[in-house]
Amino acid sequence: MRPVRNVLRSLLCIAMLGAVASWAEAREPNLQSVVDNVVFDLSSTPEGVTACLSTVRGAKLSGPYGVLITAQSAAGGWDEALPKTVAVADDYFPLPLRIELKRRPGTAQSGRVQLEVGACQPEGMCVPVEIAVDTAALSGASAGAPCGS
Amino acid sequence: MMANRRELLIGIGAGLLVGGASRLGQATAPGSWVLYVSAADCRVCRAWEVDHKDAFVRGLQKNGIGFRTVTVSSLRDVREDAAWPADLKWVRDSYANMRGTPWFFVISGRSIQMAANSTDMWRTKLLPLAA
Repeated sequence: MRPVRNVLRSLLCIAMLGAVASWAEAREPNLQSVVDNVVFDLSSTPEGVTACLSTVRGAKLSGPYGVLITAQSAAGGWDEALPKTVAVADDYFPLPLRIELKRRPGTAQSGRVQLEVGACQPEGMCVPVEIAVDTAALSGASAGAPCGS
Repeated sequence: MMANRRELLIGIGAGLLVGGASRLGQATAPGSWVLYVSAADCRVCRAWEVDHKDAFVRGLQKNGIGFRTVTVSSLRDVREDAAWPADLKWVRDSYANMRGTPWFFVISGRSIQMAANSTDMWRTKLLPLAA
């Protein structure tokens, strides 16, 4: 009787662990923020951080204004010089816009990163919109992240 | 009866519009002028300039209203000190929360009679000044 009870106990433990794991996963979605009609969807990847930018309610992202990426801390942990601006000559960026920020190889250090865009609103005005995020708070990107390349 | 009521409503609406426009005209004191604040990287501003600016300025001139422009380097910093002429800095300083572009101000002497911070607001609030 005792072996059967032990097996049942083990199965219960496994089930509980599975439930806790899926709960923890559910508690850490990619960081998504909507600011002034700009949707910032950020996630971590093995190489660094991926930002997927899109808009709602007809807002557009100014191409000449670009996307300004600034490291607010641990600037040396990135594989490129920050701050940097990604801009296009076209009036507006094609959306969704995918931006990848790579960590320096061998560096697992997290840091605070700020993204800034020029958001042109449907009512006819353009405003600077920014978001700052601690990369340690980001979860992994899901396989089918809804962002164009 | 229904048609009469509709005509009456249209008449009232037209009256309100004309009254509103004339009140707007009265509110624009002699010597008033419009200040337009743009940014080099503001696509909305470029589009407005191409599509509407000339006709708007002509309409203002016809009504004795002046027009001036301030263009900052980037909408990131609409308060950019170097871009604002000394005699207009008081306008910028009156709007501590000024953010983004475009901005339109109707100014009389040293007072701001009206402000609009989008082309939609320009259309509803300022365009009648050029009619």
